[in-house]
Amino acid sequence: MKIPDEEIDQIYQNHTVSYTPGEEVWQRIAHNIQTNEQSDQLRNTRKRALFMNHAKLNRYLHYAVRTAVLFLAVSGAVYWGHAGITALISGRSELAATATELKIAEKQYKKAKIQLVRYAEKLKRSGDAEGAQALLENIRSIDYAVEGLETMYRQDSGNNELRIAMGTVYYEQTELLLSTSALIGEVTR
Amino acid sequence: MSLPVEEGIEDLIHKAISGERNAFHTIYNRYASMVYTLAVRLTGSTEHADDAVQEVFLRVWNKLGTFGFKSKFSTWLYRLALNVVLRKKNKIISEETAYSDTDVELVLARAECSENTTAIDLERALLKLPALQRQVFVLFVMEGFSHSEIMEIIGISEAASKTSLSRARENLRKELSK
Repeated sequence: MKIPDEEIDQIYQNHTVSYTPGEEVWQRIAHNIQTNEQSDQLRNTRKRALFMNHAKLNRYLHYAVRTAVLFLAVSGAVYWGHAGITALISGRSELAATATELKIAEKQYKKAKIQLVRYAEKLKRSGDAEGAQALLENIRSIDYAVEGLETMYRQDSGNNELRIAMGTVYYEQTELLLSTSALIGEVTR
Repeated sequence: MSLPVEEGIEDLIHKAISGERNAFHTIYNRYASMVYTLAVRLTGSTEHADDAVQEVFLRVWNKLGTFGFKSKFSTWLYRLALNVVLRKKNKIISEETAYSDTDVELVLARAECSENTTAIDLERALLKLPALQRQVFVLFVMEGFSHSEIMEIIGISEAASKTSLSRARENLRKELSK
């Protein structure tokens, strides 16, 4: 007798077999995490040492240079269109693979920006009006470039390359804002 | 597929984000089987599934800070796992790949069930399906996706998805009637 489709589906919906990976899979994951953390620590130590050595005079140079690089990349993407976007997302196809991931990246970016604006206010209150001004100008300039890209994406929201470009910018900028916040926090502590 | 218990997961995630590896290991122990079972069924190979699980959990470790607690953790993880597994399977198997009996038995040796021979027979029949038929059947019947969603996930037309499902059912019917 022919088993009806519904019955086959039901049999497999109640099917309980599962698989568990071998212990070596976790060991490989743990090893990878450890290796990545060690290189991150080394990078952070170098960053911190560089920043502390420059002291107050160059406190914002690190931020300003990275902002300028990102600003040029984003502006290039807006100005040059497809070629600029391809250059911006080169090697970053993992970022913002879906619209949901992009929304999450955007939220993280906005949260990080608020954090840095608060730092700028704190600097101003502590008497460093010049430093606060420099920070806010950098945030404004990157906002201006991001806005251009956001407008392009709104007009062509089905475009995968544009979505990845937006994700890349949000991701880079969030990293930049958070690392700058951390560095300023250390110096002003 | 029964989903892992979500109780206490929020606390574990916060600890893992702050760098506590023990907390991340607990998360892994709780969800690895869910990811691995999906990977085995979609790739049909324990070797590729091992790689997929490794890649998924490394991505989870790196991206956990972006999990906004707006959805269930299992849903977020499932989506991430599906993306990784499907990207991987595109590189490793063609649509018509069907595994030999030996390959199937090697995969089945890793299966967990309560000494239930019927369950193993069902799993064997599923693993013997050609790759595309197995993927469509797993996604449609066992994971609850619609044909239009499968069209987006695998990158085939809705008609091809329906045809593959129908062929999968027919092949399973033959296997189960033996």
